[in-house]
Amino acid sequence: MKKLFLILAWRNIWRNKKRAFITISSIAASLFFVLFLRQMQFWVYDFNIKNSVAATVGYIQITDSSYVDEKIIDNTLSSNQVDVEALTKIEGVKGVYPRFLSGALVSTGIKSKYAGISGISPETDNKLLKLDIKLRKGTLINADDRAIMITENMADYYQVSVGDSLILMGQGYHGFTAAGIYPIKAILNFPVGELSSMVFMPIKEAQFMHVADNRFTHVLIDIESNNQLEEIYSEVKKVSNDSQISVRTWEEVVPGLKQGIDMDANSGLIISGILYMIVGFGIFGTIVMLHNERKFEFGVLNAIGTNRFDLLFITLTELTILTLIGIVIGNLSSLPLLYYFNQNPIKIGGDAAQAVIDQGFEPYMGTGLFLDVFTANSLAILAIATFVSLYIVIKIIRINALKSMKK
Amino acid sequence: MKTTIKIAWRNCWRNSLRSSIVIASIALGIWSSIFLMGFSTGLVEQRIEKMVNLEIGDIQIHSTTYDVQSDILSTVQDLETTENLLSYNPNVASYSSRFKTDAFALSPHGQQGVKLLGVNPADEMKVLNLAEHLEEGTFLDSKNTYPILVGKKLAKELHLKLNSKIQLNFTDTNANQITKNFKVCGIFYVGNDAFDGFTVFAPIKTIERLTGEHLIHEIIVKTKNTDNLASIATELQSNNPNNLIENWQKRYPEIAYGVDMMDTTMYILMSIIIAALLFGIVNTLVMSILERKKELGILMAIGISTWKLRMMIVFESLVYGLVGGPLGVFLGYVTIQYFGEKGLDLSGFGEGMEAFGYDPIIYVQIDPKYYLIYTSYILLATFIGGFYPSRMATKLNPIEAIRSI
Repeated sequence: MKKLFLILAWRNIWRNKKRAFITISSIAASLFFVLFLRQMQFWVYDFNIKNSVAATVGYIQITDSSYVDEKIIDNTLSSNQVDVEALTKIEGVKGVYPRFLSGALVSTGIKSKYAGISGISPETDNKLLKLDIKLRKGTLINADDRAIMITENMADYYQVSVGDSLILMGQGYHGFTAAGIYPIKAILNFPVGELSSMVFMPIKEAQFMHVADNRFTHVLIDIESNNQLEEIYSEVKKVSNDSQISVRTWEEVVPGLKQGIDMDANSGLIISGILYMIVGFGIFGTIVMLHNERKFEFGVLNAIGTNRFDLLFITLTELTILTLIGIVIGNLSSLPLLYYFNQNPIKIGGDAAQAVIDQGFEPYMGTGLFLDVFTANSLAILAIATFVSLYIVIKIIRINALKSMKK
Repeated sequence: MKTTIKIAWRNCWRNSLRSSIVIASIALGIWSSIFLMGFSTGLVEQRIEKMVNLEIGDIQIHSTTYDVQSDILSTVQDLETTENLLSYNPNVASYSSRFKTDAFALSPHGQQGVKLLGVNPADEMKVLNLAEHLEEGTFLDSKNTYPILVGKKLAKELHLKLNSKIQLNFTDTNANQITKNFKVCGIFYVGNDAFDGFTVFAPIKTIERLTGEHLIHEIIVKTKNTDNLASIATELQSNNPNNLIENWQKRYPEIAYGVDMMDTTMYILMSIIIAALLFGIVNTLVMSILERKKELGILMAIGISTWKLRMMIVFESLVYGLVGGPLGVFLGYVTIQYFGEKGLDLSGFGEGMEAFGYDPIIYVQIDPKYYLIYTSYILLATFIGGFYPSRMATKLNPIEAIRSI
C-alpha cells in the first residue's frame, strides 16, 4: 500500500514537468547562492582564526590572572606554575607554546617606534609561525642566539638589513629597565596585523633582557579544530587549577574579532533569510496551484473512499520529494565551485585588501566545505517547505468531497 | 492595446490568491532588501563621517618625503607659504598644523606605542569635533605644563584617570631620546579602537619646549563644501609642489573603497533578489498558461494575432511588477524614513562594532535614486520574465489546445 503511495507521489510530481522543473530550480539556485556565500564567509573566519589566532593569541591562552588586566612584566608566570607536559597530553591539543610577549621602543638614529617583542622557542615556534615560509633574508634564529628577527615593514621603516643592529628599550621585571642592542639575523614577511611590527627573539634572550629569568607571559595552546574549543578549555582548566592562573579562550582575549565575525556572519544570515523567504513564497505558490488544480480530483478520491490522511500522505510525500530534489541539486551543483575555491583561495589585492584588513581580516578569499553549512541550509529550506505545506495540510484535512467536486 | 491591457489585468485576478502570493513575494523581497541596503549604507556613511570629522579631516598635507621616510625630519615644506595659501583660500574653512611622531607611552600599569600629536588646541577644535567627544576633562585646556589628552581605550590599557601620570619617549631631530612625564587632562572616546587606543594629543607649545623647534609634519584642513574635495586638493597642490596635498579619499583609499563599492554591492544584491523573484513569477505565469490552454487555443482559433497574445501575457507579468514593485519600494521608503529618523539600536553587538569604528545606533539611509532604480529594475525584470511564458503560449497548437481539458 505504502509503496503505491510513493509511486503515486512520484508520478504526481511529473504530471506537470514545467512546474516541477521551475520549483526545483528555484530551490536549487537559491541554495547554490546561499551555500557559496556562507561557505565563503565561514572559510574566511576559519582561515583568520587558524592564521592569526593560533599563532598570536592561541586558541586557549594561559596567563597570570593579574596579567589579564595589567599587561606588565611583573605579572608573569614562573615556569613551575604551568605543567606543559600535562597540557600537551590533553586530547586534541596540537602544541603548547610558552611565550614571552612584551613591547619596546625600537630605534636606530632618529627613527624610533614602538614594536612588540615576541620571545619564542625556535624549535617549536618556527613551525607554528611558519617562519621558514616567511623568511625573506638571513637565517632563522636558534634558541641560544643573541639576535633578533624583524619584519619587512620594519626593515623598510628603519632602512636596515641583515647584519645591522637595532636598539630596544622597554620595561623589565620589578622596575628594571629592559634594554639591549641586537643584530638582525633575519627578515620575515608578515605584511598585516599585529605580527607586522614585531621583533622576534629567542625566549631565553627575551627573559634575560627583561631581567625575568625562567618567567613567561603566556602559554599558548594550539588545538586541532575550533569545534573542540569548549571541550579542551575545560580540560585545560582542570590541569591548571590555580587561582593565580587565568585560562582564557581566544573569544575572551580578542572579543573584537569574535564579535566582528558574528556581525559579519549576521549580514550573510540576513541575505540568506530574504532569499529563503522568496523561495518559501515560490513553494507556497506551487502548493496553492497544485491544490487548485487537483481540488476536483481530491474530492473524487475522497468521495470514493480514499482516507484523507492517505491523500495527505501522498501530497506531502510529493512535496517533500520535490524539495529534496531541489536541495540535492543545489548541494551537488555548488560542490565543484566550492571545491575549486577551497583548493585555490584568491588573494585580494589593492584597496579592497586594505579595506578587508581594516575589518580585522586577512586579505584572502576562499570557500569552505563545512558539512554543517550544507546541512543547516538544506534543513532551513526543508523547514520552510514544511511550514508552507501547512496550507495543503489544512485544506486536505478539511476536505469536503461535495464542495470540492463542484466546479 | 487598451483591451489587451485590460484583459491582462483581469486575467491576473482570476486567481487572486495565486497572484497575491507572487505580488507579496515581490513586495516583501524588495522591502527587505531596501532595508538591508539602507542599513549597510547607513553603517558605512556613519563610519566615514565619524572618521573624517573626528580623526582625519577633509584634506591632509604632508611633505613629499613623509610617507617614504616617516621620521621626525619629514616636516611640511615652505610652511609659512603653505599656511598663507590656506588662510586665503576661499574653500578652506579652517586648518590645523600638527607635530606628529611615534612615541612610546609608559605607565606603572603598562606600555604602549602611540602616535603623539602636538596641536594648537584652538586650531584643532575648528577642524575636528573631538572636543565634543570627551568622556572626561578638557581639550588640553589645563594649567599643567605637560597636559595630555588620551583615548578611552588607551586609558583602560594603561589604567589612566584624570591627572594620572604617563611617561612619553620619543626621538628628537638630533637622535636624542626625549623622556617626559605628562598629566592626563582629558579622555576622549571616538569608538574606534585603532584611534582611541593609539593616539594622544599634547599642546604644540609643550612639544616645542621639549624639542626646541617648531616642527609641523601634517596639516589637516576642513573645507566649506565637501562635495568637490578632489578639485580643492588639486588646486592647493598646484601652488605647492614640495608637499603632498590629498583629500581623504586619496589618502585613505581603503576607506573610500567602502563607498566606491557601495553601488556595486547594491546592484549585486538587487540582482540576486530579482533573480530569485523571477523564478516565482515565471512559475506562476507558466502555470496560468497551462491552466488556460483551452481558452488560449480558442483565442488563437478565432484569430487573435500572435503579437497581441504575447503582449497580453507579458502585460500579465508586468502587472505583478507594477503592483508588487512600487508596494515594496513604498514599504521600504517608509521603513527607511522611520529608522532614518529614529535610528536602529544595535548596542547588543556594540562592542564588536565599535572596535571597528561603527556606531551602535545606525541611522539607515539610502540614496533616493535607488527607489527609482529598483522600481525600473523589477519592471524590466517582469517584462523580460514574461517572454518565455508568452512564447510558450504562442507555440500552442490551437486544435490540440482546444481539445485539452
